Amino acid sequence: MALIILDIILDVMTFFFMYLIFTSCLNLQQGMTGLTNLGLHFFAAIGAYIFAHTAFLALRIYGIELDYIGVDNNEAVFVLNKLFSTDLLTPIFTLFLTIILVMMTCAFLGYIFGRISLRLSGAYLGIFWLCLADSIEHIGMQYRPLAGGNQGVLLPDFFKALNDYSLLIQKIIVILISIITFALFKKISESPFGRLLKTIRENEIVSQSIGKNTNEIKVKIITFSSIFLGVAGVLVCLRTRGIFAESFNRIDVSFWPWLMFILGGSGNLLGSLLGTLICVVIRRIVLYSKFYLTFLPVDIIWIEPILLGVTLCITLLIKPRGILPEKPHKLKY
Amino acid sequence: MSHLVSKKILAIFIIVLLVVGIGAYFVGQITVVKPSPVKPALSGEIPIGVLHSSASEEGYFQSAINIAFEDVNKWFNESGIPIKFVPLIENAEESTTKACEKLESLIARGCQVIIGPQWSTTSLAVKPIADERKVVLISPASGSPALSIAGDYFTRTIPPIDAWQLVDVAIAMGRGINVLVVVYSKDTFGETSIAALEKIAKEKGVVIYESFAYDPTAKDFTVECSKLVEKYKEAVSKFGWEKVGVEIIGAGGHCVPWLTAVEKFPELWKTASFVGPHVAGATDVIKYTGSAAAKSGFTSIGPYARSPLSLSLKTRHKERYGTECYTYGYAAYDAVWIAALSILAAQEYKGEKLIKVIPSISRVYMGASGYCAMNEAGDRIAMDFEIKMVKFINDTPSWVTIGYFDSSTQTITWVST
Amino acid sequence: MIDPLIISAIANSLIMGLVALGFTLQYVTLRVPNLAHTTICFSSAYITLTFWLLGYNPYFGVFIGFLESSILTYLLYNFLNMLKARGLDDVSLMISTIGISMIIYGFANIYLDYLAYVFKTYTRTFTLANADFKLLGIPGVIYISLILFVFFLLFFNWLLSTKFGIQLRAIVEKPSLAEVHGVDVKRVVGIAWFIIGGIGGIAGSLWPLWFQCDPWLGPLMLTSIFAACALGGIKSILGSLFGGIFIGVSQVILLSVLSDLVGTWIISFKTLIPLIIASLVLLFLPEGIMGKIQKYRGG
Repeated sequence: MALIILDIILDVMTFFFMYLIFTSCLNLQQGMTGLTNLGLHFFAAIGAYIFAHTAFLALRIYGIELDYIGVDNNEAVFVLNKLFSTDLLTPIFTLFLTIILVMMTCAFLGYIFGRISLRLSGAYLGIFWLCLADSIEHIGMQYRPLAGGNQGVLLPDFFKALNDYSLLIQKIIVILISIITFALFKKISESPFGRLLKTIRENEIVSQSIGKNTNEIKVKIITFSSIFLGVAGVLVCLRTRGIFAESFNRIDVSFWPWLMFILGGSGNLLGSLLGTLICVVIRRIVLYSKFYLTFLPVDIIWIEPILLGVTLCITLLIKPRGILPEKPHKLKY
Repeated sequence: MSHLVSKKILAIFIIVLLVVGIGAYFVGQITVVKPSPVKPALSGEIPIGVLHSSASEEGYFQSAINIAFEDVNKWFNESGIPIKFVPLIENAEESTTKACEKLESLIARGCQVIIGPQWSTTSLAVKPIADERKVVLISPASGSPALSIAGDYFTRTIPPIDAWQLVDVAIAMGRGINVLVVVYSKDTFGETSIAALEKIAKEKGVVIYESFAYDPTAKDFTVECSKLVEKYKEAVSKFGWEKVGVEIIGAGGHCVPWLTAVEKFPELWKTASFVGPHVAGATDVIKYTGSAAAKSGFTSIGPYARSPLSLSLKTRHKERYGTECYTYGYAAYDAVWIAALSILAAQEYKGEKLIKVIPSISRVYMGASGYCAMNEAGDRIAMDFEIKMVKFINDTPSWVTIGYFDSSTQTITWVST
Repeated sequence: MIDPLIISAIANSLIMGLVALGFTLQYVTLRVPNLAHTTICFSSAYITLTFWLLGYNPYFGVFIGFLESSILTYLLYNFLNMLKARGLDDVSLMISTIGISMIIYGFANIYLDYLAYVFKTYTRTFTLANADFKLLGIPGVIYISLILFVFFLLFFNWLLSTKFGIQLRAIVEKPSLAEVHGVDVKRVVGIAWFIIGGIGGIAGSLWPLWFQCDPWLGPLMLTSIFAACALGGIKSILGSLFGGIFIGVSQVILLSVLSDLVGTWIISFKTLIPLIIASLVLLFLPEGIMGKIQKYRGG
């Protein structure tokens, strides 16, 4: 029983920390800079697609020729699992390289699309990102060489050498990266640069009038947050032990973080943390407890979206600015 | 006097006999070892997970699964086994992320065996978690060859996709078709099916003139159908009408929109062979698109078993739900039974034990879909099929059995109609 | 006989046009993209299904679909007003509509389960194309949607010239100024949303008479409607109508043309068409075609 509870706690924590990266990025973009982004899954998907290829780098290192994305995916996973059961260095190197590559690619793409989208704002910007992200999801699902198409790409166990601790280590990695991301974003939010971002959000013209190049700053924010969104995509794949393009959809990767972000409080990183925690826990409670509602004359599966929608609406009614709204900045004099 | 003495002796003899007899009885009661009642290792409620890939799959499968659980619990009850199986139902809502979440939720609720998922994509996504957590998956519909791995925790009560495509090719050949125009859904099922079809067709000497993919999320297949007509006409002009057949590969839920599109193109009403998704006998095909199905001679396949269980499921499903049991529903029914019997055989509700027991149970289980014997990869080895076609019977579109496919001989026995 | 492609394009475009019209009107009146709009609109498809299952003409569903959708939209409007009164910004209001969308999605599925239980049939995916009447070989849905499209075009033209319409236009321009001039903004916008919602409901109730329906249809159509509104001009009523027509036609005709040019492999990328159009329009023509025309005219 204790093991089951520990399992549940670890599972909840992994989900929480994974979503924390998304909500932190959202807080930076929307909460602090006013850049609406309904397509967080764009960069997460890019990160995943890169991982689909770099994950099998070890095959090249070992000189094995296999169509790891296509028909030989199973075999590739089997071969790598066998190799990784006695070799920890290669998979760690692979993961490290993946993270670097994902960061560089997402930064580059973030810069390009950030610059392209400068003329848009508000809902237009949000919808632009949404269309872009849905497009990349669809391309990933239809174009097999990218990420296995609809069949996806199974991944090897990178920590096979650690045997029973493999899953635990993966979860710890997710948690660590998330904590680092959160700490970094917190540092930014509390810095003078963070205050500048809020100024841009409140009144861009005022920021421009004091000589700040707001366009450059916006592009920097999108570039910076895209890096972490890409890494989050890699972590999602690590957790599911596979890359499935349709798992980077607007509901799971964009709308849910938005709910968490709004619930917690826009512009407040701690609020995002709290919102994420509440949402993940409520989802888990609904998931585990809905079997007690079998007395209802309806399929309990549909209770979940209704309960979640109602929870959001009630929270917005009671706490419209979120549970931990942004505190006004206090002047020292 | 002697008469009196003999009566006395007889009386004494009877009394002694009685005393000895009664004494022996009592002594026997004390000395005979009564077998103490065996305390069952398992008792009470045992949760079995059911993980549907989507809401539409739940709509197709859940009815057969409900009947399966009722039958299983009734049998256990009548057998005096104090176990009741409780289904815990989850829906992945077409998302692999949600599928992983729901699987973990089921495991947390104590499930060591899970019926599902249906889609191969979902199965591929949740398999690593199931393997890691040593929880058995018994899928009634995932046919991807990528899931054929020995030593894992994934099993299925249907044979891999190759077996189904073999039947489709056999149907074409049986009708004298040696050229096919194929349209397939751009998903795991469609892509693995077309790969299997191409391989089998090549072996059997059937030419795939043209094949192209369609988006399974589309709500209208008019454009796709117009392309299909175009390619079909090209093939007919080259090879002749009697040699060209049409095949649509997709999930059961695509049948109705495809037939709706087919109704708009009279060229497809008189093909030499029109084979579609595996939904033989499906009620919604008749209800929503019966006319188009009958006009085009829509042919489909489904599992066939000459077993009382099969007939019983079919009858009860129709009585209770008013619809025919879905093609793969028979496999879902058998999945529940195999799970329950394996738990009984293992005498322990642990995935590690169950995965070892399931193959042997499957070898002796004759279910609603036939013999469910599995190979070392946990795949069902063989399945016989019933071939059905929609025809106008007294001006009413109806499913009619036109043949049976025997997996052992790989031949079709056509039924004259 | 008319090519089914043409009929499909017409049906798709007219229905899209009506739904896009509703989305734009909601946006210009409340400045909030209503992400639950398509979910509400296409929930009317189940009304059509219900009438058909009961043995009635499915077109009866159009009237009840109008009412159902109107009421839901009006309730949503009041909810958004409540949130606005509590200080929520436009982005948060937009997100709140996602919550509403989820609730409607859940109830839609429950309703479909109920229909399946009562009528003993599969209801999760359905199409009622076979239940439609035909006139001169053309399905009835084409006639009805064309008539309704023209009707609403004329209706809005007339409405905007009435006192109510003038008040509405004033609210669209500057709500605060309109209020100062004695316009009951809440009442006027509420009535507008009621009508708009109903129009969307009519479009949704016509959908199953040609196309396939399932509970996920509403959320799925969101990006197509965005594309339509963005193309036409998200602040232009006429623009959204024609944007809807363009997207509806392009999803059928453009796809067919492309498949002739580049090969049938493009067909599986069907869903990308509205997404790419929307992305390009937002980048290079954010004001939309009508907005560009107005700018050119100096308006």
